[in-house]
Parts: sequence; C-alpha cells; structure tokens
Amino acid sequence: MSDKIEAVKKLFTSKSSRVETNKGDTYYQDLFAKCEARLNEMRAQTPANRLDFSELLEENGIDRREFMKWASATTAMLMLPPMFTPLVADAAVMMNRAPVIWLELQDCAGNSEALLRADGPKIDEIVLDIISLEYHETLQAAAGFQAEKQLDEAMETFKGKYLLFVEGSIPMGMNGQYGTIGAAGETFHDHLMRCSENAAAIVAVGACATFGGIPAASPNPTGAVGVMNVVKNKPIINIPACPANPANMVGVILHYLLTGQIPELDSLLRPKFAFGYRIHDNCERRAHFDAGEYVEEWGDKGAQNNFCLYKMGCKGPMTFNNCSIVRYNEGINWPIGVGRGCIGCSEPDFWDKYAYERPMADAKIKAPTGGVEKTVDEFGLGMLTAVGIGIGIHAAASAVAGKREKSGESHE
Amino acid sequence: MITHELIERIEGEAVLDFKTDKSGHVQEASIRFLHFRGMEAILEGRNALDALVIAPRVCGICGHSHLIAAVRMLENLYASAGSAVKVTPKAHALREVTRVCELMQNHIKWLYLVMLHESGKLLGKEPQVALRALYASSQINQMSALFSGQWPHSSYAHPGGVTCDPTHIEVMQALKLLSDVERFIEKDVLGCKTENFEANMDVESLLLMEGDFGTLLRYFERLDLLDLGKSHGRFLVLGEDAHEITPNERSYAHIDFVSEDDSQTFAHGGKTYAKNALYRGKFYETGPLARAISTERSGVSALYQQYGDTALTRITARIDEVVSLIAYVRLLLTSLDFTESSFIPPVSIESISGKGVGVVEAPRGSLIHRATVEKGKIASYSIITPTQWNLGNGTYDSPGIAQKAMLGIESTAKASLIFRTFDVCSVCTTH
Repeated sequence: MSDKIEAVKKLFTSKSSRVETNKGDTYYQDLFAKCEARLNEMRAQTPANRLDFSELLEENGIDRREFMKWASATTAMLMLPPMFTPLVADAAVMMNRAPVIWLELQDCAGNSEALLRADGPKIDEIVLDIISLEYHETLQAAAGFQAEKQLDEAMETFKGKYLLFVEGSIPMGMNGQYGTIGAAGETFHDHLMRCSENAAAIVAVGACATFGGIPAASPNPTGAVGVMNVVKNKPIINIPACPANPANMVGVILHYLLTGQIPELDSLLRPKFAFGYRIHDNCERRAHFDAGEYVEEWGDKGAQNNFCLYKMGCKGPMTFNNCSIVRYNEGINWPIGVGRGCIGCSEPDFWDKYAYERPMADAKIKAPTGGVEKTVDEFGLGMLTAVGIGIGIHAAASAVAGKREKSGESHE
Repeated sequence: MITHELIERIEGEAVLDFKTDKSGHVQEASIRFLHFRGMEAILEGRNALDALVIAPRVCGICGHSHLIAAVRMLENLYASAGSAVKVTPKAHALREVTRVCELMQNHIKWLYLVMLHESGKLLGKEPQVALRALYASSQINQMSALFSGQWPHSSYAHPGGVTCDPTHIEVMQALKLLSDVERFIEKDVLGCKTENFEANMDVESLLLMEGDFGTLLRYFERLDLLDLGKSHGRFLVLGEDAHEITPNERSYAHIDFVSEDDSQTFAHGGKTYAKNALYRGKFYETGPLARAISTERSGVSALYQQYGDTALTRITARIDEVVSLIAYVRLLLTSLDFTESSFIPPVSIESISGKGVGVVEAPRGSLIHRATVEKGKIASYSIITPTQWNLGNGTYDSPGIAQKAMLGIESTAKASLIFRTFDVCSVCTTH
C-alpha cells in the first residue's frame, strides 16, 4: 500500500498538467478581428427579448467596475488574453442575442438550482437566466399548456439559432416510458429529438445529461443514457459534474456569442477551458500532498490542519474540472474546503468506478499521466467504452459545427 | 367533464386530472407523476457509506435533507448493531445549521417563484423577476456551503460527525449572511420586524402587511381562496419532535406505523410512479403546518384553531417557519463550542450488519430512509419522501391530503393553485 502511494505520488508531483494557454500573437490578433466582426453582426440583430442588461445591473446594485472585473475573470477562464476583456463584456451585454432553451429530463433539477437559484443573481445569473433564457420549465413565467405553446414558439422564432441546454439523462428502457412530458405524454427521448432538431448546438449540463449520471449507475434500472448517445447530428458540448459549475455554463454561451463556434473540446466533448485542468493540480491542499501530509481519518489532526485528502479517497488526482479554481456558490467554498474528498463527478461512470470511500491506490483505476491535453483523452480511453462514441460524435460534431456555420444563412 | 392540468415550475412535472361538474367545480382530482429513476435499486449492493453521496442526488432542491436522513440511518444502523456512534454537540449543531438552511431557502423560492407568480397570473398580473428573493436564497445557500462545501449536493456529514472544522471566521461570515437574509425577510417578505410579525398573527393584521407575503394573502383573498383548501386535519411530524395530531388527539408519533402503498402505481396498472405514504393506513399532512402545530408555535397554532387547515394557515406556516428558523440558526451559530471534535470515528462499516432508519424534517415534510445492511453492504434501501405524504393519490372515498383540499374548488385553475400551496416536488416523489 505505501509503495503504491509513493509511486502515485511520484507520478503526480512530476511536471504534469500543462494546458497550452498561449497560442501566439498572430492567432489572437486574428481571433480578435473575427470576434469583433461577429459581435458587430450580433449587434445588428434584434434581441430575443426586450430586457436591458445595463438596467438590470443597475437595479441590482452592480456598477460598471464590478461588471468589468467579472468580464476580466471570465476572459481568463475562457483562456483568452486580457485584450479580449472588452469583447467579453460586449458579448455579455448581447446575451439576449443567443436564445437558450432549457430542458429538464430525467434529473433532480440540481443543475438548474446550481445555476439559477444557488449562485445568483449575480452577473452570471443575470446574463444567463434573465437575459437569454427563452424557455425553462421551472423558471419561466408560463406553466402547463401555455408553457408547451411557449416552447413551440421559441423553437420556431429562433430556429437554427438557439442553444439547447439539456439537464437530466434519457431513459431508453421500456420504450422511454420511465419519463414522459406534456399532455400528450411525449417520451423524454422524443422530446429531446424534437427540441434538438433546430438547435444551433446542444449543451448537455451535469453528470446525467452528459454521461447518464446517477440514473445510469448500475444496474441502470431505466436504461438511462446521456444526450450524446441519442443525438447524433448536432454539435454537442458536455459540461459534466454533479452539479455542473454555473461559470462553465455561462462560459460556453459567451464563447459561442463571441466566436460563433463551440469551444475547443476534449474527447469527451468537454470544453478544454473548463476541463483542461486536473483538480489535484490546483488544489489548495496540494502542498500537503507533496509534503506527504495526509488526513488518515476524518476528524484527526491531519483533518484539523487541512492536510491532503488523498488517503480518504479523494479523486482529485484523476478528475478534470476547474472547481479548484472556480469553486461553488459564488466561490464561497467547495467540497475539499470542508474536508471531504473529491468524488470525481465530472468523469464518466464515476458512480460505479470511483465510489468514494476507497482510496485511489486501492481502486482499480488507471491514473492519468503526462500532459493534460493528452491525458484527458488517454485517460478517457482507458476508462470507459463509451468514449469511442464520444470521439465519433466529436468528429461529427466538429464537422457539423463547421458546416452549419457555412450553411447557416441558406437556412434563413 | 374531465380535464388535465399540467403542473410545472416545480422540480419536474406533475399532471392533475380533474372531474368537474357543469359549473366547473372540482368533484374529483387525481395526481400523476411520470418520471422515475430507480434510486433505491441503484443503492442496493453498494458500500453503505456510498449512500452519503448517492442519496443527496434524489433531489436537487432538498438533497441536503437526504444526506442528513442517510447519515441518521447509518448512525441508527450502528446503534442497532451494538456499536453506537458518538456525535459531538458541535457536529450536531453544524448539521442542524445546514439542514435548516435548506428549509429557509426552499420556502423563499416557493413564495416568490411559485406562489406569487401563479396567483398573480390568475389575477392577470405580469409576473415579476424575483431577483432579490433569488439573491437572498443564494445567500442562505452560501451560509450552508461555508460548512457543507457546496449547495446543492454536498456530502460533508458522516456517521460520527462532520468532516468540516470551521473557525470563528466561517461563523462570522455565516452570521453576516444571516443578518442580510433577516433584513430581506423584514423589508421585502414581511414589511415589518420579525417580532411584530409573530406578535400580530390574526387574519386582519396579516392581510394588512406591507411585504410580499401580505401581497400573496391579498391575492388569495381576491381569488376567494383564503379560507379554502381544507383537508383531513391530520398532521404528522416524524423527524425532530415526532407527533401525530388529529382533530381529537395529539400524541407521539412512531415510525412503525408508517407504510407505503403502491396500488396506484404503474406496477399495479395505475397511472403514476409515485407511491402513497400512509400512517396507521391513512393519509397525513406533513410539512411546515404540521411542524408549527406540533411545536405549538403560537401564531400559527392560533390561526389553525380559528381557520383550520386552510390555504391561509398553510401559507402562513411556511413563512412563519422561515422567521422562526432565523432565530434558531443564530442560536446554533453563536453557541458553537470550537474546542469540541467535529468527528469521532466509528468502527469500520464492513463489520456492521443490521437495519437502520433515519428520519428528518425536510422542507416539505417528513423524509425517511431505511436500509438493511450486511457487512457494510446495502442489501435493501427504501426512501419515503415528504411529497408522498401530501400528494398521495387516494380514491374517491378516501382522497389524499392535496386531493381532498382541491375538492369543491370552483375552477381547475384555482384548484391547481391550492395544489401548489403544498409545495409540489416531483423528482423526489418518484425517485
């Protein structure tokens, strides 16, 4: 056991996790010009709704300075140099040009809660919830039949332009009867297919929508799968975790607004700006790992001194997500902050493969090695069979995304 | 005439089927929930401690209550296996803080996102964007996250205590957030100091209140719903301070009298995934009103004596609970003894076999987790959620709590509003 720990320790203290954030001046100047042109295009478009962003900020006591601070932090999160800050700010103001339709399928509403009611309503929330949300079953004004009508109208009005956010998995067992919606009893599967048909791209949010999540945990009683197992001809962006971090959801929309494209993804279709980090590498307890100082039992001296949680089964060393940087609930805390290990919730099949009580050295999981960008993919390949599908979709998604860009106008 | 009403703006979706007479009055109402995940089956066969991570995922809005129920179940299991677990007062107090934070934020969202919204719409009012209310509930969630790590879905409680070891700094931050929330409650929700609210809880004073709670009651009065929504008058609290209260009797409640009835589910040719929860074979109401009567909070108890279990009393009980919990959280935070341990390790779960039960008062009522464990592995797991009590689907002769409350209401739209006074949740009901 101690040998194993030493070996893993050597692995993780070696130079790993290098996300190439600097792509060179030429690249960024080029991108800057493209983004400017794109934003001018958006500016000319009629907003999806009549809410005024500046007014909303003012009403909520958020001044320009605070807003620019947020824009600058968001720019950094998107792995863009500081010169993009004014563009990110402009894009945020124009969020009502990127209509969002939000579906809840086989879910616990945790992601809606995380985004729309737990983390706000600071700028993130105003930006996404208030400004750009065209349809959300829990939060919209309409309910019942009126809501169904509103969904149809939103899909028609913003045909080919809306981002479809999906929360929850899709039960495929018993012909989809484990989850139906609306008066006609449409299955979640059919509902998703209908709503995705005219979406610009699909953003699968949370562990359930991305990789099936908890409903798909063994024995998967309802035959639950993630969005990418069902939708095949659309660009898909996965934002896993349980719940997904609101900052990453907003980041994806901003990126789309700025560039007209989906962000760079790894083989599991996760945006690299958010999932190119290994939790372990940015963990506040990392120094204790390097020093060999561990919590050996909840409540011991190590726990009282915030030592490393690796021996308590923390899955930070094998989990890719930016929560050690962004944290949760307005950055107030995260699981590690209260002495609980990471459970690896942004990795596929984590309910079955990661559990959480077992220390990593005892778990039958191959630890990731090498540079992070390479690692994410290799790690994923070693980890699960579904990744083959993931890559397939990724390739298709990129192709579709490119095509859609070109053929976008001809649809109009 | 038969009509279907979809209930959204809840966690998931519910369908109400109404039978109405010629004038549109509700004669019969049945409730259907059409989602299912199979959480209990997923828990079976796993390490018992995995329940601490999996159970919160039953619900994104009251997941913390599920965590506390799971941890109480495990501690009860330890005790029944002869290896009782010790929990220090500090660890217990921290669990209480985070548990009641969930109640408070839930009730505020219910008031603003559901009740004001839906009742306003019936009166032709444009719904407001309730940013300030969302901000207040996010502050409550931050207060909880200071100790639990995150909200939703935290897993910081373990048999033996809690994993966090807060300092004065976190407690000071929490007290600051609490004061902000209290200001919001006084300024926006009540329109008066909390003391004045509790001292003047008669219907005349309530209807004159300036805050948004007063607005809601006035909406209900204009809709002629204030004194409607009466159900069976049977109440149950199983978590803290367990009581059963019927029109004629008040006594201690015991979990042994709880049963689940799946006769209305798809499994038996019914039309829903939700099972009914019964006590002594009958439907009982759980939640804020039951808790207010059980703990004899004076204002709500007096309202109940006079008006019974009407919409007026039910709505007031939920708001009054937020007010009373502010004082409770402050007391818990200010009396923490930092020198105590957060955690006292129990023996390894692998050596434990037996049965455990954990009961907790969640936002919407009594939540029960039961499990059979063999050498640390879950052999069976059973969850009974609060909405199974309140939204149980009975028969014409023996309607459930919410079903009974909707009978005789003059339109299906108004009946749906009465239904929402029970704080509907679908994801946990079917789990």
